Amino acid sequence: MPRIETISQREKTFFESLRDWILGFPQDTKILIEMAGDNDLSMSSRSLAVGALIYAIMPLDLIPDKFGVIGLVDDVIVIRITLAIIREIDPERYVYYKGKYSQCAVLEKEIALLRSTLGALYSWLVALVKGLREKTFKKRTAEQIAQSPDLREELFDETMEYVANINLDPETVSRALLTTPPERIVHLLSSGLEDDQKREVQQSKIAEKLAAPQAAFRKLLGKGNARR
Amino acid sequence: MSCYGFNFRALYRLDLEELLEVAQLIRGKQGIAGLARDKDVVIRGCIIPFLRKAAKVPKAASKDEVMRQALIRVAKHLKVEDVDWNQATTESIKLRVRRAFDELLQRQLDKLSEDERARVLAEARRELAKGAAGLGISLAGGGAVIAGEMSGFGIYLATTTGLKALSFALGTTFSWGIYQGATTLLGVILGPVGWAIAGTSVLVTGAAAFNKWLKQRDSKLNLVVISLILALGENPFAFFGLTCGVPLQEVKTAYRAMMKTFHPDKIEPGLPQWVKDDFGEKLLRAQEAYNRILNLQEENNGA
Repeated sequence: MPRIETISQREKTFFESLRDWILGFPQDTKILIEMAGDNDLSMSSRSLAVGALIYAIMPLDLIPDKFGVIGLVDDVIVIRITLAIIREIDPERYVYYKGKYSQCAVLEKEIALLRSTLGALYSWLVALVKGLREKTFKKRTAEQIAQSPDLREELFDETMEYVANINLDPETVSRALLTTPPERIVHLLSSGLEDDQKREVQQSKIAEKLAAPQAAFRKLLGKGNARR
Repeated sequence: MSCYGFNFRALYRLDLEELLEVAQLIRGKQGIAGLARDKDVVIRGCIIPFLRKAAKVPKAASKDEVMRQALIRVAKHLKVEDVDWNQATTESIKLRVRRAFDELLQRQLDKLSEDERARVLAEARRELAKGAAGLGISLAGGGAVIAGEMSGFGIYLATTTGLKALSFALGTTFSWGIYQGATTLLGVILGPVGWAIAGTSVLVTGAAAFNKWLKQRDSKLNLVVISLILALGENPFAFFGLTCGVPLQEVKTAYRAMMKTFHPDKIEPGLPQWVKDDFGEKLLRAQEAYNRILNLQEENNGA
């Protein structure tokens, strides 16, 4: 797939994007909170926003949080996909978010990057995200939470407490991304899949494709240090 | 009723830097290195959960209730008495805690020997002069500082040295905002120059006394609550003798009346200097209170 190469040359590489997504995670969760309570969005979008939040703060998602910063990799990817689906459902309202948050403005490029980098894994992640409306939090459904200001407030607090307890120091984040083998990232990302899907992910050699962007990221950071 | 109370909304009045310093008191310097620089994260994710836990407030209680209970706990710890804990507004409890804290600091300062106190004053004067020189102002005549020394400068010192001692004991630094909250009196005494330079270091004394205090059971809760109180400042409406939330027009009327009375151009030239100083002080405080009300108004409109 030569397309990855062109993208990594023109745009941010995959790992650079991952770093920025992870550093932007607090803001992402706040966008989802806002969306969850936005009357101008359809209930379908709002429940999905709630579902994605629950996913992000639940300790047992694809990549368990005991992996530290790497535990956020699936969360930030799930959030990108969530935003993309909401944009599809409510394109008119999405314009507002696009104008307000840079994360929402650059979404198109990022989805293209995810799709080209993750291949088959991407489609499965999309399926997973679509199912997030079924998530529950404290025995409430995502839709119930989206409809109730009190429950949303509670979810907001829980989310902020979760965010406050992760180490988002830029250096720590970069280091984690540089030192985790790509195979491990792919392995963790596909851990929620069916066995045959996992096999397919392995055969598609996604991890190998991540080696070059990771090396590029290392080089980029090296340059940054040299300049300093 | 209590728009200047000790409640959840009020925390958003603090700026991010001040909130981060409070978070640092809670978690230590290392603990905030990776903390997201975001008010919601710091308030909802760090400060409120800490207060909830430290004041042993049930999980189901609202955030305002958490703050109220934390405040009451600290008030009781500082031996604030004769309060109907169920009825009193957080604003009134807050004021009582503030007063109790000032007294505590004053007592610490009183414990200093004459030598130590002289050293503190000398050091403070040097620091202030240095700061003033940096701003291109000469305090050589000693005017402002000497006047300060006579009229409550001790309180300023008690508060700043107290804060310094606390900072020192915890290995943290308080923000300018917190000093500002603690040194309203100083600002009045030294004028704008004083405001600008009081943040510079003043000799650290009495750290031992504070260490002892800090080692008590609820020490961190005390410190966090008091820091929040100092950072939040006092009710600017009360300064004009008004109740919270009266229409802005009434505040303006009160403010203009004070300006007319206390402005240097309007003061009788023959009045003794100390009266003039006193008027200048009132003018400064009025300006400060007025600006705070304007800010408060803006916040409420934004919310």
